[in-house]
Amino acid sequence: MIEVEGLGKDFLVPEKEPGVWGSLRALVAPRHRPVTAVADVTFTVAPGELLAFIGPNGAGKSTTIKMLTGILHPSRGRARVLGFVPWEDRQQLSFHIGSVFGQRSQLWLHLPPLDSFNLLARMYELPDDLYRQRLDRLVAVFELGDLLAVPVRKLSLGQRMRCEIAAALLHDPRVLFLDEPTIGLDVIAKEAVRDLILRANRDAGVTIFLTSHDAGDIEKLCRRVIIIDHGQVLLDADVQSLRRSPHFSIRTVGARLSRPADGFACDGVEILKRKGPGLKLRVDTAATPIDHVLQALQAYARIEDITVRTPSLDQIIAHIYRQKGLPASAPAEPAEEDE
Amino acid sequence: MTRPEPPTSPPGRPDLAPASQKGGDRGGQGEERSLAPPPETGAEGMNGPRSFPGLPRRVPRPTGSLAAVARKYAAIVATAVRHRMAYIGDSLGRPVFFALILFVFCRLWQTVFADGRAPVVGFAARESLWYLVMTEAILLSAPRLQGRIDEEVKTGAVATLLNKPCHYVGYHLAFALGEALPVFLLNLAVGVVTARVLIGPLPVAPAAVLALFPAVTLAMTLSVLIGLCLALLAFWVEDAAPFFWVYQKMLFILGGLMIPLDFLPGWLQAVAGWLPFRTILCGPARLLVRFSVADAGSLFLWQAAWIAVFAVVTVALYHAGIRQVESHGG
Repeated sequence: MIEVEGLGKDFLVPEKEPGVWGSLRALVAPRHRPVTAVADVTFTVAPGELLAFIGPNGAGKSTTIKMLTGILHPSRGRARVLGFVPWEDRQQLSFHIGSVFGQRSQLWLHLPPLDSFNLLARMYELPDDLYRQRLDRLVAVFELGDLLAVPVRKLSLGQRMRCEIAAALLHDPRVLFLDEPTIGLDVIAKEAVRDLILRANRDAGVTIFLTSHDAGDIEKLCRRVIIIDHGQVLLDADVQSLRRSPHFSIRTVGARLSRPADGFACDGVEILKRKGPGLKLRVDTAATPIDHVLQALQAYARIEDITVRTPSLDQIIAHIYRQKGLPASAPAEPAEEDE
Repeated sequence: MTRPEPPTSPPGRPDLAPASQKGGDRGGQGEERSLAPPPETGAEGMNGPRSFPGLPRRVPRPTGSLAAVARKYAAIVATAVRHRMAYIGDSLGRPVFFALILFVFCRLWQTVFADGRAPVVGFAARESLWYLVMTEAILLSAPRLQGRIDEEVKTGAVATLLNKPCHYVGYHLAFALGEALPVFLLNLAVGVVTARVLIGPLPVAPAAVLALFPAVTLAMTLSVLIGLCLALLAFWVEDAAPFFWVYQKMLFILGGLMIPLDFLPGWLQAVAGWLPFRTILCGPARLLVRFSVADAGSLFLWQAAWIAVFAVVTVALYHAGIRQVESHGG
């Protein structure tokens, strides 16, 4: 479906010294600094996959999407999307792919979504009867009935995003590129958009290539995640295996005991917090089995309550970023999950 | 060739059952996953039964026929008309300004041609004012392309159009013409009513009315193309507004906005004759007040020639601009 091999893109970024003199110099003798946006990316995406393509800002996600949709020519490497070389067959490819850019609308702001849908149907040369049928179905699935006559600029962000995704699916694309589709949405709208993405993938079989900074998108939608930075693939893994990887064997144990926890100690366990009968421990289960900790707690006192927390996907991703020396704050902070 | 089952597809979903997925997949995504030469992406290969339950599939595939392309760009024009009509109220300031200009010039021409002074090269007060109606109606209808393309380039929104199956320049040309149409009609209506009230009707030959339609359409097309050329400079410069400023001033003077070029000195008329500006304003307006078949024919030829020149320049600038995005980033 998507095959990428050694794909890379370099840009020339203009450099200008400050002040009037710098402006004049830039005008007469412009200087450019080469910057590698994407160094060397190789991956494949199978038909029907729902893949998360994530990385910190400036990692090369958008540049990769732009190359895969034919907007940019790569500096090196090869890629095929649906058998097309995107930058050579952009017009042909465009009939078979859809794209949604979370921060840029493809709808006409002053017009109701229906006008945009009508125009897109013409652009994609959809026969009238087929367009009507698809539109009716998408309106039903995406619950757009009440929105069709409202100017896009009057829609909420969540409503607009539903319209954007419907617009991207109108011409029956085989691959959908979603660039941060849930950015800026509230919790309810995020859930609705995620549900629609999932349905597009599962029910309509559309292959989805998703970039996001929201670990929730990845966790709730994707089975596979590719983490990139400086245009290189850092990790290409199954989301579940990522969560259960031995590298992420840290557990946080919270316990409330029948007596003050002042005297509790256990080899291989770091005590994070101790307050009255409450205790918070950090356990590396690769070195210290969790049952060893439970036995030590039971030996010390009766356990009245206990929680064992796994790292959230966000923390896992942040950990990977830290390991690679990247800014760990890139992903948003989600709630931890109990095991 | 059997297409592999999508990994995320739950088993047993009837609407995903690969009845037509089997065989005929020439879309390049087979078991081999090779980077082999591109396959023939026929309708079969591009169409498997992947729909929301009840969502019909796309058969046949797009044809790319001339008729389909014409319908596509006609739809862009129609959408632009609706887009402009959606906030036509924002444009009401222009007709008010237009009426004010006509009032001022009416007084001016009445003073110039007072006391039975002979018309200048056939233009008396009435002809001069009606001339202005047409030139201003065209000028005030031109959409502001510079800001739009500037923003698209700077924000990277250009990407949302580049991956659509239409040409970037063609889209903007069609959209701008569509936007100009309702504003032109509004301006023309205001101009005609105001001029009739201020100075009386102008006898117009039916042939002139017929000739005006293509003349104004071609003038608008040329105006939009020149505007696109200048707007596309946004790929290289931070602010293309100064170029528009210079262009507008050239259009005012050498296009004959306020007065027909016939009023200018001979040498300046000769210079203006070789420039495109006169075919945008003076040419169509002159047809209104002093129609001749020969003038109309000459005007259409010049307009067509300039449109061809600027179409080539616009497309060349667009491709160079895209290369700029290629090398310097969006």
